[in-house]
Amino acid sequence: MRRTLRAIGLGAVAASLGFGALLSAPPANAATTTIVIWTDENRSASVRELFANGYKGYTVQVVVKDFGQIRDDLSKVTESAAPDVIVGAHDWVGELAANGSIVKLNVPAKAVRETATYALQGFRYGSGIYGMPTQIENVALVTNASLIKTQPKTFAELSKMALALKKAGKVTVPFAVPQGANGDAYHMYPLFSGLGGYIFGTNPSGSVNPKKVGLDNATFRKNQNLINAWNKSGLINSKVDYGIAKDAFVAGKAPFWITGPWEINDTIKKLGFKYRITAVPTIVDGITPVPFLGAQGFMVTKFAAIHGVQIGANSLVAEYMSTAPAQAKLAAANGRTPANLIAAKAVSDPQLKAFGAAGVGGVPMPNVPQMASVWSALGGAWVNSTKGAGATPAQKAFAQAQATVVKAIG
Amino acid sequence: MQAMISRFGGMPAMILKLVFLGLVNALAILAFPTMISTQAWLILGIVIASTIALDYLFLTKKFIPAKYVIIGAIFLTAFQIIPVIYNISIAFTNYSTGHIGTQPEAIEAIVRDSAAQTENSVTYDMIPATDSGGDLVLILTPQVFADEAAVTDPATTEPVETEFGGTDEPVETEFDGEGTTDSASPVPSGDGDMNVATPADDTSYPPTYIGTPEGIDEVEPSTVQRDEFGTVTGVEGYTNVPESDLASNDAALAGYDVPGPDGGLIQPQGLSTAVELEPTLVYDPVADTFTSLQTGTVYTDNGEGSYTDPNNPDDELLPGWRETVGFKNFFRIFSDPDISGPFFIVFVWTFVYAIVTVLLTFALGLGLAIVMNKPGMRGQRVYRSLLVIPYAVPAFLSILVWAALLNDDFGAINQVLGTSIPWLFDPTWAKVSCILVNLWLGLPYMFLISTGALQAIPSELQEAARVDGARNWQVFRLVNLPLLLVALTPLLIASFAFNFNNFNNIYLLTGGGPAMDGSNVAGATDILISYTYKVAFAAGKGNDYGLAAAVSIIIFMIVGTISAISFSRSKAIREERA
Repeated sequence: MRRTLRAIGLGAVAASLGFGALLSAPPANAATTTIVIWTDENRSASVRELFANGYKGYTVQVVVKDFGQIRDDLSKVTESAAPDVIVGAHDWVGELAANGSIVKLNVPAKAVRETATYALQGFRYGSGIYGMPTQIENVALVTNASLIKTQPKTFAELSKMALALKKAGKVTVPFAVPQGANGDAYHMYPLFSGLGGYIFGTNPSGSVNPKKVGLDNATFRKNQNLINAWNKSGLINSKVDYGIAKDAFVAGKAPFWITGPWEINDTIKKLGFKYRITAVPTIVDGITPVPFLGAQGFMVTKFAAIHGVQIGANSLVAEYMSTAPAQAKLAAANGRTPANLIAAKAVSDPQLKAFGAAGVGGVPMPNVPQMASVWSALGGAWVNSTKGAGATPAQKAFAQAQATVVKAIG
Repeated sequence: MQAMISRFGGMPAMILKLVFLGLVNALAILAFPTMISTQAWLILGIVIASTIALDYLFLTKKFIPAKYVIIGAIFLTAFQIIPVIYNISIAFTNYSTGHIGTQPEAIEAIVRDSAAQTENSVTYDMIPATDSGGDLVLILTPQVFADEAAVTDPATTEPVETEFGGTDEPVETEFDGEGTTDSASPVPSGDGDMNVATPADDTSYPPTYIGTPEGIDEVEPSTVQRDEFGTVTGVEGYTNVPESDLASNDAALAGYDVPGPDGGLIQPQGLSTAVELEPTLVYDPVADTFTSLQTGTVYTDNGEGSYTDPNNPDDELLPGWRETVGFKNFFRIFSDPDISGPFFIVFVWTFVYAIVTVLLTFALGLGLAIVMNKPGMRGQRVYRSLLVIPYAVPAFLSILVWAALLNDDFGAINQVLGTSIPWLFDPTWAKVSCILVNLWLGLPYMFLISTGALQAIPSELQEAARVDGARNWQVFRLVNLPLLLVALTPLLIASFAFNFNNFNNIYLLTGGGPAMDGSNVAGATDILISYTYKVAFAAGKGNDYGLAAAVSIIIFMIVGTISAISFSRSKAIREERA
């Protein structure tokens, strides 16, 4: 009897401990007026600064996550811990919208007018726009001006200069565009587009049509012999990966480098020689080589409505983050061109401006979930057709890539 | 030891026990609100019952053996059984990009995202306000822009070619002949508000409306209050909702519908904008169908987690939802030529890779262990430490370093050897590279366990064999090796299972490449697990967790079968000898 009593007493103690923990836990599902933003490390300081005093009567809580993790965690997070607004890349939009994780925005007319059209198109999925672009980026051709005295006007000239330097033993990598064993369709895109290649056609509404695959379209096919020639002469070599390309250029062992504005502060401004930042020169008459355009921006998640801050979150993203002052602050912090045109005009960093100019006419990276198959197929076709001896003829490599993507998209 | 255990009792032990039990109870109670809110009654019941059972078990003096067993059982369940069951349950669903939520969530999202601007839809500047009765109204003014070309896309400006200086030189801004200076177009100063029309007299202002759930009413222009730029700031007779109250009105604004002039509903899209919208899809809860208002297409539940047009199954409304699809994922593995085509080649290579790796590392590791095991050897410790170094470097790093060293044209290895071996770009050489790097990574492990096992063999046995006239090789083959194998076979099997699924090595070294001719997904060095990753996450329409789970079950069965056979065979050997 005594033993039983003791057990009951102990049980009560243990249970009370448990209830203590319960009481100290924050209540779940309480209606709030807090907007939770998930942002990456780079932007966290400026986002915190922008919303240090909350936003129009809402309190704003900034949560810092690894950039890629923002997308992955959004599909797993529990309702109470979920964000109302996320910072992300435009090419996530397809996946997140297909999952129903982010909501369509009806962007105010003023924001539409002030925002670079292609950046806004980047956030389009199906019939709607799912995010407000705040920053854009693209690759450009960086040229070592002490090796190349006059900037080549055509790609043929560029090729001649580069190969002459290589022959003279002055450089090791004649044209530093990164690929590596798995390819890099992103950095190769100016060459791809310059030869007439494209990834997806568009619908009349301007949205991407993944059923129209252009990896092996007629124009591009006509120009593919140039790829074989580049491979034969050694101008383009798929064994050059990101690290090799960068190291060679920085060391003055490569006259040309294709890279993006993320290298401005840490690498480009510290180069020990003069350089120019331009677009890739014309490869084939009548076709302008253009880079992929990437945009980063703010999106409203489906959780904003559940948390009762839908209108505030919408306002923060579409009405506030679309404005020039907000974007200028954000862009200043991490070296990207603002998507807001007024803020972009005000950019003073000459290198950043030069990258922006090289992105003229660029193509927003398609954001449909089907892109996954494109990266590997297109990257692989470049790798196989430019791996030096034993390379697959471009005609065969890109036809195969086309078939792969068409099949994967189904 | 015995003394310590018996001494550790009484009050301290009791307190420790109570703290632990309290923590367990707290954890269980902490989970209650979530389970109640998601109505997971079964799980709630299980949690309550098992928590009470645990408390009882550790508070009585009875069931001594159960106290030991139950803890192991809990961890086994939590870390082994539940993940496996979860994995299996996913394999029978369509869990993938576009199919992650429930059907009601999907319906809600489709309805929500189907709202589109009406044909003549207008965007309104909006001010939330209250009327004299305290009811929420919207002050709406159509947005009008004065000059369509006021803001120019930089994409229309000419590119500029500038030469920049190096680190220590000032940035030069010399343009060459072709370039022009920044051909800036006129841009309004300030934050762009200047674009808004600022007509001179009242009559040319756009009308202002009061929007209520009944509709919109134009207000008398003289009652509209404006700032110096002509922007509407309020209407007489209405009180603007102060900024501090906006947040508490969020839900009211989110559900506020004003019937618009164009047949749609004017809905707030933020705190200062409203747009006239109309649905493009209508959900019929009775028939469980969506109907497009534009085309009249009826979308029905296709039984696989999506609403599709039965006449055109590719026309799918997204998002879909998670649905049980039976053995569909398993059928796909074998019937889809894209997946099943390279499956066999990948399968064979995975075996070759795992077996060759284990045999090579074991042979080399054992050989080195024997050499290093010679008694009285000088510098034995130094050599042993050197051999273990690869083990101390994180594999992630060393694999990436190897990838750089092996680069066909720029890698150190070809440069030092003066060769041009296509280490990573030729299908066969890439396989060799994978095995060589894995040899480097796995050698220390095999060396360590072999050294340990060798030292555990009593030297009398070897001496006895020598006395019987056995030569070194015979001693090794007939005495050492069998004894080593008894000890090491389970470890070799574990090593095989590990390398069978050695994702890191393949993914970081070659990424599965080079691309296999004629295969869409698999590369020449892809093993089953990296191939699974590619099929499920990099080859189709986003992430296909269901398919990945199905393939991983097949891999699990292969590895499990092999391990079971090996274990039972090695047991047979031992029993025979015994």
